[in-house]
Amino acid sequence: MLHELLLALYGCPGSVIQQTQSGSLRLIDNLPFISPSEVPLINRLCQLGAHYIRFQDFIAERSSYLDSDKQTAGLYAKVFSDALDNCLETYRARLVDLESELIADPYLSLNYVQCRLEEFQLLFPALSDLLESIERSNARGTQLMEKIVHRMPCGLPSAQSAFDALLQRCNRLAYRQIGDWMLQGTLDDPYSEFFVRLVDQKQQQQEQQKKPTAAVPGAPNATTAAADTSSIIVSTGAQKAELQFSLLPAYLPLTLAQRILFVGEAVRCFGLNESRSSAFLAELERLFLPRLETLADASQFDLLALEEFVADVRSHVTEQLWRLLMEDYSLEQQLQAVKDFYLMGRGEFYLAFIDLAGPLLDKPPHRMLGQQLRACFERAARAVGLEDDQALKQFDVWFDDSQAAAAGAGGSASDADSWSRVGLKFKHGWPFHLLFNDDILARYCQVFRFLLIVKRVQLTLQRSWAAQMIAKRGCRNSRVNSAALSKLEPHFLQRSRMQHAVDNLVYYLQVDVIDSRFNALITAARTQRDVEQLQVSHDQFVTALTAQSFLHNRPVRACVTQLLHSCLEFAGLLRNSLDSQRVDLDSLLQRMTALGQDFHRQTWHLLGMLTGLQAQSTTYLNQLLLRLDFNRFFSTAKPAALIPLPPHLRQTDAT
Amino acid sequence: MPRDLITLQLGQCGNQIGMEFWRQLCSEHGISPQGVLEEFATSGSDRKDVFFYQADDEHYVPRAVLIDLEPRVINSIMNSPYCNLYNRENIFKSEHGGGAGNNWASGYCQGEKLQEGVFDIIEREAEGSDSLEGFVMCHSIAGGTGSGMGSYILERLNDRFPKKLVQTYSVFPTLEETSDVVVQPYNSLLTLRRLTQNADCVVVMSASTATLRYPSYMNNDLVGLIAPLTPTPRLHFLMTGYTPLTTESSEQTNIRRTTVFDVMRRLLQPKNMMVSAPAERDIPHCYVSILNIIQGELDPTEVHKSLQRIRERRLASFIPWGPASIQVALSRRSPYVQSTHRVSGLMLANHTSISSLFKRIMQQYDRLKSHNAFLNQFLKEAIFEQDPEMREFSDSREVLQSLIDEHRAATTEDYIHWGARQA
Repeated sequence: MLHELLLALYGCPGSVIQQTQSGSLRLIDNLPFISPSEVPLINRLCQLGAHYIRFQDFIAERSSYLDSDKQTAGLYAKVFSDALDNCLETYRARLVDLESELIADPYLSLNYVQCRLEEFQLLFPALSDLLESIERSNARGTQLMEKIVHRMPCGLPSAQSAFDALLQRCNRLAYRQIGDWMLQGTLDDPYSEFFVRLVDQKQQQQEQQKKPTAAVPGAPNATTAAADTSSIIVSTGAQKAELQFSLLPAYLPLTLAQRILFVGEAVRCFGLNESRSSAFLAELERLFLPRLETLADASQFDLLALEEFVADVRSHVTEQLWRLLMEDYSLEQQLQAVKDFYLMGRGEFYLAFIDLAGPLLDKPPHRMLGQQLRACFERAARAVGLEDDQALKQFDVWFDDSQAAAAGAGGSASDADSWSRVGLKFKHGWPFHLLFNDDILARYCQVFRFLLIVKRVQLTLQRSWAAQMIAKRGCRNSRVNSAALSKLEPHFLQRSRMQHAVDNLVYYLQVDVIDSRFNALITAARTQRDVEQLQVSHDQFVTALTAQSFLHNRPVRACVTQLLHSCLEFAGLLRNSLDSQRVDLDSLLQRMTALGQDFHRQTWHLLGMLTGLQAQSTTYLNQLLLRLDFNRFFSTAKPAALIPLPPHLRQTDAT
Repeated sequence: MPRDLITLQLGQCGNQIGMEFWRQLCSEHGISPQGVLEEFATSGSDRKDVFFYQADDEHYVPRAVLIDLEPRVINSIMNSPYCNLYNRENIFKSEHGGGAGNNWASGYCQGEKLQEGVFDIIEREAEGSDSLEGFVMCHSIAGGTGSGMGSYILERLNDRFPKKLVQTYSVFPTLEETSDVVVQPYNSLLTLRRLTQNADCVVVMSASTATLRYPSYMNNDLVGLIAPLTPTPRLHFLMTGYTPLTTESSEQTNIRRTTVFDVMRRLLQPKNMMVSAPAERDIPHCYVSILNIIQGELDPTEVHKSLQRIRERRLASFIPWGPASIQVALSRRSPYVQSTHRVSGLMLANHTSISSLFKRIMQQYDRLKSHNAFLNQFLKEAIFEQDPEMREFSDSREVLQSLIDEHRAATTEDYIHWGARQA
């Protein structure tokens, strides 16, 4: 009889102990040779057998479909079932011991069996619980570990140690994957069970397009949101790594997971460069693999130790990356190139470009414009002797002919001309994608457009100055009607005021904004030996640029745009009236007077706004204000002298 | 499309300044006296094309035309290490080599006679340039060649190149009464008329501080540099200031702190100006505009603070009739020049007190003219043969008077009516 019982405990029910419909094992009723007092005892022992059968089924199921395509399949399932099997090994050994004992001593009673197996009476229900919860939720991958921790029975030392063993086996696998990811930059994860996964970027974009885009491009909240994701998702090549939040075990903090993600990405970055990677990876392995192995072998999961490990690898990798960027890829030069071309540090180049492209951009856009602009860009480079310039070769001009741009994203119609649709592409190579993601480049492009427009107005005003000087000389030779010239004389003064405003805007942008910020960025790049910090500094740099060029301040921006527009039209008219012997000089003069009026109103408005905003303690507004009103002309002059018109302009209007 | 400039050096003084100018440019661009780019400068991205053109792979040739009526200075240049720098075809020496005898009229008439040869050179040079922006003329207004021939060339430049800008570096006579050229007031007056009418921008320098260290190639083009400085057509006489001045002793300069504010403050001090205009107490002279170019490793955030402090301390007074400010451009210094000064600044300023310089010239002229002194040598020349009443003199005086008046008017708020009133 006891033998029958042992078999049942081993999961082989016979005719005496039978398996019921619900899966439990029961002694059949009314057996004459068993005392009624033994029946519940046997039935209680049989529960172990029932659990065992269930465990066997689970193991058989899980380990068999390692290569099947079932959803719950995977390495973790395999490891878990192996660990479970391991755990049952003690049970099986106990049964074998028991059998030999029973054979040796036929007088051993049922109570002895119960006594020997009592410890499993606590463990098996707990394990069974765990399995049930796993099966119910279809847990897979690293989720299994979460389940184990969740179901961990407290206060039962024997059960707890079994659970620890289970967890430890799973953790080993997790550590191996973390190690692969952090130290090699590879993902050995055929069943995608790890909490980091690689996504094709194209696929990603399609997914994003499906989602309705609630955020307005250019709005500040959109940019901060984008900045957040950029620190989590670092793109490398065609594939992007991201966190799978559903697979992240609850006992791993999100920040830790993000660090792990970042380090892996950074290492992948190295991996893309064959020549550098081998030495770097060998070094990384030498430094950190032993530590990881100790961690993996520890019987208890130690979160603190893991965090420390991740932090150390991270600081090593980021410093290496920083070194790589600064020393091998001369980041400073790259940033200088960005300043020279995106931010118009190379004034003479843009002078030539605006000369060449200006006539094209003044006309309404057409299909070939993008191509023509590219040709202008190359010719401008040749003209200033930059045709072999490596930095310039990384840039490409393009024309945004999408419908959205044509409709004028800025809102007002004046924003929508061809000039505000010129863009600049930066073809950065590996490893600069760490700093220049799409979002940052888009913001550079915004600043670039603004600078281009300001520069164009400045140049037009300067050209009308040249025309004015030449006309003045020509007057002596009676080439230009001297009466007309004297009518224009007050407008020369008007032109100089416009020039003053635009020049100071340019100086403000170049010196107070770009130069100052750039200096800070370069200092940061030199001192922060950490790529992540560098990313933050760079992001701050671009954010400051967009903010201080008033790109987010709609009222100020609109006012500046209108002001520039008045200046542009005025300068054009002034040149026209000087260049040719036009008969309709009076109508030109009238229009110029009106533009002069507009300009004064806008300047007044702008200064009023800047003064108002100054109260909000934004120093950069103060900087522009100081430049525009340096001799307190605006703040002390009687408004009557400016608005609606200086008296002399009214005089010409009357004549 | 580079903005090329052709430099014309006239007369003894003009050629000396020119020499100094090219010496400086060469050292800053890393070009040897033979015009060969030095080994250490081959990777530079500086803009040599504004003032030089590339003859072949390694030779840079200045776009300079050297003109003199007497061969002494040019010959000394040709005997210097820089003899191979210039294009020899661009050197124009008068056949008889007698000079202009410090006589404006003689220089003017010789200019007329020799114009074929001179303009052959200028036009050849202009054709060789991709996009000529204008001319830079270095000369003195006191002597004979620089003033007389310079005047003639200025007029013809206007005719032949009506669309090109003309900037001059004009050395004004020192203010001391004693001068080796007695007819200097005549020469100056007659030249000033041309500078007023035919030039777009005049940088006024005193002969005493003729060290020309003028890095205008730092700016994108000539228009961009001078347009903001000359709001109205006739207010186009600029003063320059430089700090630290190279003439000062090195011990003194070492002690100096060099922050942006210090550079800007020093630039506003009269002693750092390269021209000294006598003070006139009754007129509240003021700045029309200021451009500072500061070279060196500097913190750009200091610029704003400096501007604020200058305004608070009222270190500079500005015109009351329009907005005006100090524009500050920061630039890196040339990597090839070893200088003891960490920071140096250059100022171009349009200041109304320049008129006192004109006034002094006019007073001197009036004194000479009232005695009709030394007029004979002028009347001998062809230009005055058809002009027995010497309208040339009275016209020039009128131009100068109105120039002085305009500068004085620019110190008052009424200046905005000036243009209309002149009409």
